[in-house]
Amino acid sequence: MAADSIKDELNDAFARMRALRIVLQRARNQATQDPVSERNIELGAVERGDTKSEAREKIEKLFADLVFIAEHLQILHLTATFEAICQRHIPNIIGEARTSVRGKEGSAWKESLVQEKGQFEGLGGISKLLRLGGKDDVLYRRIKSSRDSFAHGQIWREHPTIDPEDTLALLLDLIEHLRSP
Amino acid sequence: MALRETLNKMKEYAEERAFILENPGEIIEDWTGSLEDLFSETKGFLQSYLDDGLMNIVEYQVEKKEDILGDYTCPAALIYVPSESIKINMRPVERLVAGSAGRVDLYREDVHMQDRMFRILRQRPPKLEERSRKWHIQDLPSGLGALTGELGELAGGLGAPARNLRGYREFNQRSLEQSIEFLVNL
Repeated sequence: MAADSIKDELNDAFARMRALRIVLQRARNQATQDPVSERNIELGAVERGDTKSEAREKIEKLFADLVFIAEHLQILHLTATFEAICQRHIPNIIGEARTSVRGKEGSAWKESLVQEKGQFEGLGGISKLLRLGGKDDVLYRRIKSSRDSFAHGQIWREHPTIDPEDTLALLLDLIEHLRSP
Repeated sequence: MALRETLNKMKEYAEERAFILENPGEIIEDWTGSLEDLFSETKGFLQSYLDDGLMNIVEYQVEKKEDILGDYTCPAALIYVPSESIKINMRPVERLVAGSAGRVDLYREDVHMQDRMFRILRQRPPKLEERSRKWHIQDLPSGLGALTGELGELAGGLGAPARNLRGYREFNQRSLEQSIEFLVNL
């Protein structure tokens, strides 16, 4: 499990979504510079016949929504990337655990405590793995809750309950934790 | 869209903005003239109703203020149905609107709902110095009279409209009568 390349995956995911938010900001600036432009009609932000003030209001509303969605997507993309990383490496972690107890006194029952990888599938399974590893998963559950609310369509027209930067930092920390012996 | 078409569209738009900035007086004159034409045409379309005393049309002046163009006065019209005391306004909104060379709203004075009114949009002239006399009116909210092709494109821009927007049809006697009928039945 090469730590740097794994961290790169998460950092790249973060950077992609950060770029998306910058693109959005620039698109918003461009759209508000000339609210009644053809470009805004093509974008679907503005309707033909809209006055400047009507167009401006619609553009502000559209981009406010898009910013919310981009923020949630950033969390979603980070957690999805994290989940994919974990699913790739959980079999190794389980294998290492089995190896560490094998051949020791009472190893048969100790080995039986090592669970199958199916027990740790999805973000909920990862949460379980963290708890088993003695890691406080409160923040992780906050990320999962924010991600779930958006993914299930419950919340999107408001900011995520956790900051994308904090999410990245925590997920990087969890990767370190899962890698530790 | 082909690159040439895209670039030409951008060029035309930039030229139009520049022309408007440099010639606000001409733009206002063109706009008020086109409104006079529209109301005159409207009277013509509704002449038989006027002759039979089923409705009246009164023209009046409205004060407008627009970015770039500043303050100006332009004509508006009120269609009155005496039997039911229904007032239908045909009121200029602004000249500098999105995707059109001016907008007039047709609505009942006692009903102020976006989906219970009609936008009448003036088509951009092929050349800036020409006056456009072509108008399009928004489809009935039920979707009757939806158009495809060039006129359909007026509804939502190029390609598929991003939202379920009402289409537009040519402003003529039939489309005007249908729109007024919709409004008097509200």
